[in-house]
Amino acid sequence: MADNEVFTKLPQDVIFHILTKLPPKTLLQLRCVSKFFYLLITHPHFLNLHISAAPTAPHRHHLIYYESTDYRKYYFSFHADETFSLCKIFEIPFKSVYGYIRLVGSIRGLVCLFDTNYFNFLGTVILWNPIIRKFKILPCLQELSCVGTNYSHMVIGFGFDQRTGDFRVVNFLYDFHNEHDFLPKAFVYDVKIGSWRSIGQVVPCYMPKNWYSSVFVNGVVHWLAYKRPKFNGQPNCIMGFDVVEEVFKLMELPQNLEFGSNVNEMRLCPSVDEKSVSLFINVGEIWDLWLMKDYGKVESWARIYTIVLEQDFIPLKIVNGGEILAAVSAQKKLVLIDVEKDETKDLKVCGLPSSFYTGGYLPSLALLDNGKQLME
Amino acid sequence: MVTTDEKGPLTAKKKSVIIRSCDGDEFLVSESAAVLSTSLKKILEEKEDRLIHLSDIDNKTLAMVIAYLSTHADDGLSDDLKRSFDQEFVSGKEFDVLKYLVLATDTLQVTCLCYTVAKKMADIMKNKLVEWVRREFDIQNDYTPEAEAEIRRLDAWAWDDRQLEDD
Repeated sequence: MADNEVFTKLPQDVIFHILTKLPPKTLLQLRCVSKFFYLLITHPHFLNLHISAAPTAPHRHHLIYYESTDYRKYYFSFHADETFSLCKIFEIPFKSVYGYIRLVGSIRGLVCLFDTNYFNFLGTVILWNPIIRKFKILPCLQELSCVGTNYSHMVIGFGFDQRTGDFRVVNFLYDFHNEHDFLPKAFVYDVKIGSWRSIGQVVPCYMPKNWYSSVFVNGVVHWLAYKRPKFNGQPNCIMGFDVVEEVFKLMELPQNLEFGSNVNEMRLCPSVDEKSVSLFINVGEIWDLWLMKDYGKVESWARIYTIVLEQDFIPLKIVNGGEILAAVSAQKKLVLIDVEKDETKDLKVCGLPSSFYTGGYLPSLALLDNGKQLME
Repeated sequence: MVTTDEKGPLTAKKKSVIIRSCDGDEFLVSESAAVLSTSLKKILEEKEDRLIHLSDIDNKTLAMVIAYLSTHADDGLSDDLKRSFDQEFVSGKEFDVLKYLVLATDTLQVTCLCYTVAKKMADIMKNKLVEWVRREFDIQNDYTPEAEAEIRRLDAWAWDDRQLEDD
């Protein structure tokens, strides 16, 4: 048969090339084709390329993380992009050792969780690929033995190095009381290599002790932070850590913002196209949404919405070019607010209002080669 | 105008080359089209001969590749038109035809077309059974039934909801 002649000659790199364009689920199934297919699909180089080549935005799905109203269970729900219709709800398959599980971030199909106590003193980072049920628990930092005595506070961030195709977890250790003796230390965990390393740089900012998810855009993990010497109250800058170049950067908040007692709360989130950051600022009864239109340019901050609802709410994220995902405090439910039409849609997800965190989600084969299988 | 096509120093000369398929058909191709193939470009740089014989590409496949190269060498066409040509080019083609095409683009090193064809093949392969892939790729199943069952068991995809499939 003529085909056979061709295909005995079809180079492996061509098969490789075709397979990189297949979705994760098909690839998992195709491991059964032959031993060669199995080796190819589970090869770290192939997985790397497959994960790196996948488009990151717009996401096909939104991932929402929340706690049950009785504080007992942690859930993930997955919602279709645009319509926000519910696709799936999972209970998190990990038991908290320290007391609370927090969502650090969700990048390219991999979810980063932080199991911690209430004050973020201690904790364990868990990486989880929900769709293939693979996970990895990160080893504790050697330095953590001194947390509690030398350090008061730990900040976790999650990023992806496009250049090496590897996921990175960053960890800063702080001491609020004795900064001169114990400068904040920064560590990076390379998921592929599987170990922590110190990056030998001074962390330029203090960080709030409340739990905030980091925001990962443009290869940089962002947090709301304090420019020294400020170390409490409302954050007054955005600190970024570039996971590729491994350098810190500072970005100013909107300049015509009057800081002080007026601002009750701020929440950082990605812009809709995930090319910049946006900021929710709560003053009195209202939330303003600011967008940094041109990433990195302070003068491009612009207030795009003022959101007022009859009830208290916590804004989570701007989606679909103008709708606001938010948690309504009294009813403990998730809603989608269309600011322009002044309409609110109930998304039929109930949970502890302050526990809601959200990210984009796109299935991937992350951790297929080096994760542990979660058993039912 | 920005063009993503690779243009070598030979593009300026309005010369033609003859390319012969493995079954003997000859095609007259402008040099500006031929050099979009990295392999053909190298051959033309190395020898004066204006006749290139390709011993492993048949005439049907070669005709398709040449149509692609000529379109992409046409400076009068916008990038948008070239992109829609690419979509049209692979649409409706049988998997068999694409197999020959992808092999030819690999031999001739036409990166853009190789990408387009591989993408189309992947689109067709989506949701196909393992048996279909073995047949189309002419691959012998070298697993024992037990080993294959074990891998299927390991296929721990968390849910069947097709909505979460990425295309």
